[in-house]
Amino acid sequence: MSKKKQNEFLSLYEPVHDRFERFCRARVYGEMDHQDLMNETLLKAYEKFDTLRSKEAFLSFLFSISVRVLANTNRKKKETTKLNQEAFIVKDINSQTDKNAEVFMLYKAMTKLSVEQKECLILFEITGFSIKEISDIQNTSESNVKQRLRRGRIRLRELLTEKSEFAQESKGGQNER
Amino acid sequence: MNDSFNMDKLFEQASRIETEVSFEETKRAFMKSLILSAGGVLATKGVLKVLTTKKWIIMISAITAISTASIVAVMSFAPNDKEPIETSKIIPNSSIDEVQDGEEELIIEPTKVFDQIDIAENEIIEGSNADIIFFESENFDPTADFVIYEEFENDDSSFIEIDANGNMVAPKKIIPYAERFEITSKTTEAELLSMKKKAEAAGIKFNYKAKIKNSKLQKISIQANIDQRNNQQSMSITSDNFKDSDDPVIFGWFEDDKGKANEMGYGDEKNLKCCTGKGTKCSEHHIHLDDGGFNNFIFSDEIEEALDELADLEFDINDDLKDVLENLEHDLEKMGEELEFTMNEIDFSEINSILDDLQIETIDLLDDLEIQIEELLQKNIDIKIEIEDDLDKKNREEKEIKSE
Repeated sequence: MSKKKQNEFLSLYEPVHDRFERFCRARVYGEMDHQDLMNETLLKAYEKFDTLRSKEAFLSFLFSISVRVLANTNRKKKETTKLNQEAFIVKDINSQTDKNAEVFMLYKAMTKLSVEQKECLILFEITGFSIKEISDIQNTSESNVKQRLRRGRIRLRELLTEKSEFAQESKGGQNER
Repeated sequence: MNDSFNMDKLFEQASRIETEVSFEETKRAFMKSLILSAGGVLATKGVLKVLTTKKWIIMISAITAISTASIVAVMSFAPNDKEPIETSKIIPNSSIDEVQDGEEELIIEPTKVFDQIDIAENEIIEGSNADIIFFESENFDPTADFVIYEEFENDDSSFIEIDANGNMVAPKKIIPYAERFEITSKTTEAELLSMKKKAEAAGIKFNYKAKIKNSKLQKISIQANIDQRNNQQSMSITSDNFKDSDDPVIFGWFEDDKGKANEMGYGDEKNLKCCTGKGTKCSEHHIHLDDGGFNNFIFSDEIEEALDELADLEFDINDDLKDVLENLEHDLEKMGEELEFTMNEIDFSEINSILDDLQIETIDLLDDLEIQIEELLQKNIDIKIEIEDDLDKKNREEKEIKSE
């Protein structure tokens, strides 16, 4: 174990930790513990750290690995389960406070999106990557990224509207009684 | 727009939401994973080594269990009435000199061979050794009666001396033989013939039988008779085996004025013995005629019987050793058969079940050991991380101080 390599790796990781943690939390919401994803991604990144050419590319390097790790995990699991309306009432393993309830509602809604759309939205809206960076991370064109973002937002809006209507209907029903 | 605004707001909140897992926690978890992950981490090599030795431990345990089970089975199936096998050896007396100091206890069996016993020796040697020669005079009678001797006061009562005071005293004066002979191992046949002639000249019928071995007289038997009108005496002497150091056989006779023998004696003149009777048997003495034709005095019936028994013994050391070896071989064969029988009787299924249980227990133990090792490793990692954290903090503080 090279102490120097460790220190270098961790020094590069520390500034991006918050963004990475938020990405992971949003990305695997309802699927798995985001800490596991973080850990696994970091390990892979550390293994391939020697292949990193420039330190500036560490962020996209880390997220690219994370995306690939998730893709591999999903392929292995062959998940067929699709979250439905009931998925919104699934206990959130990551939620700890009521203050972030709206954010978690967003996470929950995003679980209904496709993986590509979800990742694009998270990377763009939450993590703050540019479209070019996302295209690099997802290994796709910028136009595709834009399209995923647009479609993802539309779908997410629908989901959130349904959710609010569902909530309002539930409220109205209770008042009528 | 309202929806869009809400969504942007939600994304903004999501992008600013507090992290649940701090960098330090992530770092710690990363370090643990890094150390415990397979591949090239020194700390894990020890664990892997332990795990690779697992198979060996199981194998050794299995072998030990099989050996133990076999021994226990053999012990339990062995017949109880069987005498315990002695580790001691029986070694004939003749091989005592060869016995070295050792760990094993030695039981020395009393010897059964008595070189001193002429009877037995003659039996063995006679006829096979050309150096042994017997010769006897013509009228020697091997069945002649033996003679009873008694102490004889051999002093001249008429002998008187005058002491210094002028008194007459009668000191004991030993009367010498008229003819005195000493027979030793060096006595030759010619000398014996000379004795015979002298005896016959003195009126004694003199016969003898001699045994010569390696040109040396080994044994002699003498028969002498005075057969006169008023005096009849017999003397019969049979010597023991001569050795160079042995005292000689001494005998002689006394003569009258005419130069004829009137008394025969046996022994030195000072301790003279003369015959007082004859017969084949008395209360204490017994005559024994050995195979060489010599009559021997036996001083008690018990001794004679013992000597007879010893004479009958045809003990051969080599034969005895052969017997011992044959017995040992026989015992070993028996033991081998019993072992085979026992092995056939062993319930291997039971042993296998015991081994299976043992293996399971071993695996459980190893699993526990593995867990304990992992725990220890994790503890070590935690400690290491804490130390590193402390060092980092110190470094930061130093940097801050420097920057200030």
